[in-house]
Amino acid sequence: MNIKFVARKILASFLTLLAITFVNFAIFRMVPGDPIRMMFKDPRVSIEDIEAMKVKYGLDKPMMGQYINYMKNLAKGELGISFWQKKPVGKVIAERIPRTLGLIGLSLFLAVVIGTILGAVAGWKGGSKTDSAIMGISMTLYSVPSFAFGILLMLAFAYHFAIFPLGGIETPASGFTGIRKIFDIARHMVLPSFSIVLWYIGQYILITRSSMKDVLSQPYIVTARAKGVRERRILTRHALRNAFLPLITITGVNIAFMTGGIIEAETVFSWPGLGRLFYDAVMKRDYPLLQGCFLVFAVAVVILNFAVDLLYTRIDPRVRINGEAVNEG
Amino acid sequence: MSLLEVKNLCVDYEMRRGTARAVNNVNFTLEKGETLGLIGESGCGKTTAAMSILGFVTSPGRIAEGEVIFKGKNLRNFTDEQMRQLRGMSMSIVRQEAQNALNPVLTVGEQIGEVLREHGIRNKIDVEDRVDSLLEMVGISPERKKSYPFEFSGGMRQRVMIALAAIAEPELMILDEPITGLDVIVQRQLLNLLNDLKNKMNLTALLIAHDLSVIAEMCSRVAVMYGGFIVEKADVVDLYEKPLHPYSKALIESYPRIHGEKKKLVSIPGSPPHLLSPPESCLFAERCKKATEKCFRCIPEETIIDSRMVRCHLYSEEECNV
Amino acid sequence: MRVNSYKLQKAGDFWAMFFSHRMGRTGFLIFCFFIFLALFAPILRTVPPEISGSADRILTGPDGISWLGTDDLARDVWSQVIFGSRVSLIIGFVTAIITVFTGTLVGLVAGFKGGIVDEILMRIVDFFMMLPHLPLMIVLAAVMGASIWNIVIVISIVSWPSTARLVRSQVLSLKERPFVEAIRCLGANDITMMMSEILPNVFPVMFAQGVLMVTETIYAESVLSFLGLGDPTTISWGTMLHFCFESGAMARSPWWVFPPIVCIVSLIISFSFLGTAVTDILTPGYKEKMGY
Repeated sequence: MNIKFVARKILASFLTLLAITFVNFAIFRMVPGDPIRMMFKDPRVSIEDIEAMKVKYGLDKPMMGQYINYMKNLAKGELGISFWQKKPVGKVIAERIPRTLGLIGLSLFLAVVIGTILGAVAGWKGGSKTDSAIMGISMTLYSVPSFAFGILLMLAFAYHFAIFPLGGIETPASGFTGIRKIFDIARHMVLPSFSIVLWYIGQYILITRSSMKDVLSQPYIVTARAKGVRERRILTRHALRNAFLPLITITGVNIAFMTGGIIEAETVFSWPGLGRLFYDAVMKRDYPLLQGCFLVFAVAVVILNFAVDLLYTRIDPRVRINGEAVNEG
Repeated sequence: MSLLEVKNLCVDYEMRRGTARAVNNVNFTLEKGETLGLIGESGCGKTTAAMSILGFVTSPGRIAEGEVIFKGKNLRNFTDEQMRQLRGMSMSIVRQEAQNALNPVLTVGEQIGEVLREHGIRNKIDVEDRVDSLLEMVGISPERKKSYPFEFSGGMRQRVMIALAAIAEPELMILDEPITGLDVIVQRQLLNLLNDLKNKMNLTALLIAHDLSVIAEMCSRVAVMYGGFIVEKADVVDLYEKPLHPYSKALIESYPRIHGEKKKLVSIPGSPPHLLSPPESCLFAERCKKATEKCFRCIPEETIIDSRMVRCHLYSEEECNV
Repeated sequence: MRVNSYKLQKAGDFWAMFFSHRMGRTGFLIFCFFIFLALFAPILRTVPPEISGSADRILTGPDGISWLGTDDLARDVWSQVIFGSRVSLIIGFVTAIITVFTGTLVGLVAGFKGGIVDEILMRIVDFFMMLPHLPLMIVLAAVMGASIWNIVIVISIVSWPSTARLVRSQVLSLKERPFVEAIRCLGANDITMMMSEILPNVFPVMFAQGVLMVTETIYAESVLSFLGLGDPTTISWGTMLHFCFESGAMARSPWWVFPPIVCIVSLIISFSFLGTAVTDILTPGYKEKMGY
């Protein structure tokens, strides 16, 4: 692996993280009016209490001092206290992370596997009936918001057919343990993960297809045919591998966009993950919690992007050897 | 028996606004060990003709008429799989050096060896030995087979392409502008390399170029293409000394001579014909100084004069029967 | 999906190609339908959308008075739906214009000036593209308060960078073209060059990007409204779904759920189709392939 490339990426990610902390700090100071008053829209809170809070949060100091203070707290892992849950924000968020990771992991895996296959087929059979069918379906899927899929799936499979639960992560007070508990959670996962898969897969198919078509028009595909390489091998060895390269880059760019689908799906199905927490924080106007959630989402996007970059260096020999993509055509 | 016989080949491109005939009634033969040159401006159909030999005419193009007979068998009756077996093994192609003519994510060794592996030669050591010796033959050190295409210069990549086309010692090699787009010194080296290979392997080749000097280096016979037709076929020297077709003459006059008297370069007036619904006449008539009224009335037939072929009304007595 | 930069020689050719493109035609028809709804909403409506009916008309199914039934405040769903099309279209177009304008400006300057200016602008663009879109929109909307114009601003803040990026790469490739070099040799100054040569060739990209932005905005507005961040005084399809979802009456009142979903989806689809058609037509080689 190219050290220079990785070092540059680490530096860039670090700077991005720094900038994100600043944005995260600044947005919540831009609140029109007094931030503390915004946080407590409760008339029972007295002026003295607010002043005390101001000192506690360091809001009586100048902007720069406040930011340094915020960073110090961040370094200690302190994100403030959630007004709604009356618990440290860090703690509230931490218990939600695994649930969201589970949901997104499963959905992303399904979407990528199915999407790649369908997209590659559509691109490979460009212009055929199969192609236009896949194209039409994916453009339709692409146009439906994740929450709309959620509502439709819920109406169909939770209300009408009552096959799957309405929401939540497990049946309340069921007392399930061991394998039955896992099965119960899996059942609760089906609808939310499908609403994410359906939402993301359309876009993924479209990208794979166009990437595939682009690759198939490249001269090296003609070269491979002229060599007498079997069609299947042209697909797997020559086309797919090259089609993956832009796909990986675009997947990286899309991570920032994907966060949306998770919030929508978790909200509809009350999946107690980060997305639903975000929604609840908005509804309850719990600013410290909202600020913490946003930070977690933003940091996750940066980390995932970094991971995608590393993956890219492993697959593209041009980056592996030169430290940057050689622009060829 | 000739190695390759192209008879009456016609290739059409179906467009929304009509049909363009890119290759029109093309006839030529290639004897074993012979190199035939095919010359013409860009867009005259020479590449399409070559690609249809390999069975590479894809929609919206199609072979409308004619036969391609390779070793006595009509390739138009071959299945896709039979054609695939043939490609790389019995006939191969070197195309103009292009970015991405080699797969950017596979090593050159892998890409050269793939020709053999895909045609049933699975023994790893055999394949590797063969790759090494081919790389050496084209002047690349065998250790570099682990490199990727982007680590080579354009000339080197073209050497790889030649190795790739030659590894299975095919009976027919199509050289489609193999040295175009490279700098002059590299062109010279590649020409020498190709000539070497030709002698060593007793290659039969079809060389496509737009420059007669390149053809003269390698071929004894040459066919001149214009607007999808072969308008003249002759020995290279004969054509050069005494071109019959006005287009051949114009083509020769438009290139500088290295030897012999200095002459003014003359460009050909007008532009190449538009192949979408062409007129039923000689396609060169519009640009031809010697054109007569007959030239605008019908397409000239092939005429044989002193074992040369020419398609021009100046040399035929026949009247238009339209 | 590469869009090339050649000037369209004839506007007539463009429209001919557009209407012979199946997706372009379908998209255009659906789009016209919604424009019709939006324009004539006051005539087409039955009861004004924000007016609650009497208590016995809460959650009634479709009938002669309310063609698509009523919601939990006995408001007319049909009227809400047709007035909702106004919100979506206005927000969609205004935001698209703002983002395309901002993005193009940044992209032009970055691509044209190059050097340190380019470097700084592109780092900013990269940074914005790295921020999680919906969370950023939610946070901004929550902080700024709910109103139509805040939603426009919020979506614009998040969406301009992709246009900037695209326009910049287009400008960079144009700068390499011989004709630009030629007029530079003729002594044209930067502004003249930008106006006369670069900008007209960037238009196709801007147009395609504008169509894309409309879809993304309609989408974003519906999501924000669904999450309860919409303008509470204006009824949009997203807010309808928000109220419906929160009311808990979703399963009992299909007439309330389906119309807004169908509208959101078909309007977005129509713009996706339009976008695909435009991109196809502007792709180099399409014209020749189709034989125009």
